[in-house]
Amino acid sequence: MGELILNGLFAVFDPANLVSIFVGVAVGIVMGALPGISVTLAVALILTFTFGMGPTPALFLLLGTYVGGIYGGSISAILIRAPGTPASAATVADGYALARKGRAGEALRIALFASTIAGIFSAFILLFLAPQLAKVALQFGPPEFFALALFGLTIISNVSGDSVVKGVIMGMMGLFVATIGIDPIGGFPRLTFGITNLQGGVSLIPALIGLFAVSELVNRAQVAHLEVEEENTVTDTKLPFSTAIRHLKTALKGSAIGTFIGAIPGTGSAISAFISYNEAKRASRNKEEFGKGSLDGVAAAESGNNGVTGATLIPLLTLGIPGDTVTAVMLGALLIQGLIPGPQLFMDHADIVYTIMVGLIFVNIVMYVMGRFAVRLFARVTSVPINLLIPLLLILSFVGAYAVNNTVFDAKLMMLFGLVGYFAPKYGFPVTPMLLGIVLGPIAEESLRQALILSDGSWGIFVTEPIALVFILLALASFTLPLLKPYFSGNR
Amino acid sequence: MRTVSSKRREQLISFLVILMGVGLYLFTSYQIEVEERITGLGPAFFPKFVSISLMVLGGFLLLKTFMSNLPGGEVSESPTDEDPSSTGERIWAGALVFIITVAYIYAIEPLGYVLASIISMTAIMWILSVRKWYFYLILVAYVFVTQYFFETVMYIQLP
Repeated sequence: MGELILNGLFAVFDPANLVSIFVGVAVGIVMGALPGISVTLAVALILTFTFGMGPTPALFLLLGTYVGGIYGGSISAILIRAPGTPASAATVADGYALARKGRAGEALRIALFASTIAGIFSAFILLFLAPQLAKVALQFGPPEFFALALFGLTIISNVSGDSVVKGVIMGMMGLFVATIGIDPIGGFPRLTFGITNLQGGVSLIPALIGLFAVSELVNRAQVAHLEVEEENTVTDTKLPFSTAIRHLKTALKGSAIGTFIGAIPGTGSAISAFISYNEAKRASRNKEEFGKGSLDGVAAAESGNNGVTGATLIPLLTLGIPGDTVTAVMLGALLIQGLIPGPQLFMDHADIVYTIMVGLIFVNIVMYVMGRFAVRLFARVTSVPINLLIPLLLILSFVGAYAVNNTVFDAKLMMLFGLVGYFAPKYGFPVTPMLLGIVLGPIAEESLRQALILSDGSWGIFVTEPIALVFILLALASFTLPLLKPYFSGNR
Repeated sequence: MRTVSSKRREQLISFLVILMGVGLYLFTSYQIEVEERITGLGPAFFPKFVSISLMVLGGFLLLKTFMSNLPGGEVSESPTDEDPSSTGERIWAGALVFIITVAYIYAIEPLGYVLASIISMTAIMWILSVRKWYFYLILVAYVFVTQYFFETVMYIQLP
């Protein structure tokens, strides 16, 4: 392991990797700072640029965008009270209050300090925990993988919308979409409607760009004509190191919360930011300052959201289960590069995996350097009008969908998924489980059929195999507990 | 807030989910008929499994709407509950942007990437109330830069 880490460290300094990291972080901060551009949208669109790259530069570009984007969201949250990403929603109250007091520079710097601490903490946990988990996961067979896929689907449905049933319905729809194309076991073309382009299945990239980018851009188009009412400039108030270090405890606590929550599939940075913020408020001696301009509040929220960045990669790399929507996009990137996430990845491509994990630490350091010296520059992007961005991003969406297979058909598919992504949430159906269904579909189908073939068609195999049983029970609990909660709380 | 109309809407949605499950099941049976005779775990197995799951989940959703006291039976706000005009939203702008983007995708093969992008996106910018002339110049420059980048640097031939 030590040798792999050392090799990974050297590989990070390969010029192509370095350029990818710097560009990724810069693009991430800029896109994260743009109000209304989520990190998912940013990563989905940046994915377009990775098609011609090698695996490590491609993943560094995406990781840079991811990490930079989460931090970038705090810039617009602090300066114009518009969180660039949902993850920065918890930063708004204190960050904006500080900016109104002429302390925007301090708020931005404490956000950067806490984000970096949390990002590095999370990356270290990933580096040391993921290989151990992968070793355990190597023992998994078809029943375990099917149970795991089912668990991933239910837990994401659970947290991504108001109704767990609607979430699972969307997940099932995703699974159905994933069955289009050649049958993975028999090689028989299925549900292709006679369309040649569908024989290879529905490509993940057009689906995710449609679900997350096109739908979001159409939503933004409805309010693009509205003027942003308030704007703060970066009054460059310094944050002495002695002051920053006083918030280290909060940042470390937020890092631990973010890392723990991020490692659970389906949670995400917005949830961890709020939990971290609430915990900091609960533990603080100056509770009354929270919401009125507390540096501790900003540190807690930002460490909470950046703490997930490394942790969400744990289930992705070790089990092939994306922890959130952004890592689902990264899963797409890995597949494009011919890398199949899961325990076998640590055996077959250990060099690449360790380079990515070590590189994530470096990505956070680059984010700190960029944020430290270019914060004024990044702050200016908050004034870029959204009505100019929408057409530019629509063009990028088209190219992203088109470039996967060099066919306009995929762009048409993207628009179809765009419709789903636009309308489904309006009726309470979350779209993230659908993407997860598309991603997990092949694993779920193959492992279910293989498990049933192994057991001569007996479904008992999912109960007799202990690990599979645990995941099945967790999936059941994840599905039923939210439905039973009102009974327990007496709130019927 | 639970209202009769939103309850009916939820019932309709549940019914549509069940119908979709039935439709997908029948379509799967029709499409993969030959292979299904060979083995129960053939290519139609998983799509049918998912279709049946959809029917069951749709039924569950429907049941929840009938049993008003059933836990988790809350219904989400109707999209029409909130008046878009009160929030300044222009639904028609979103719809037009979508329609123009679809037209853009259909026009891109006959017109080519550069021309189709400039025409379609100029129209979108106008709809989105962009009135500063230099933003249109930025758009044109962006189209050429992306074409150069993807074709020359990344070797992706655009239409």
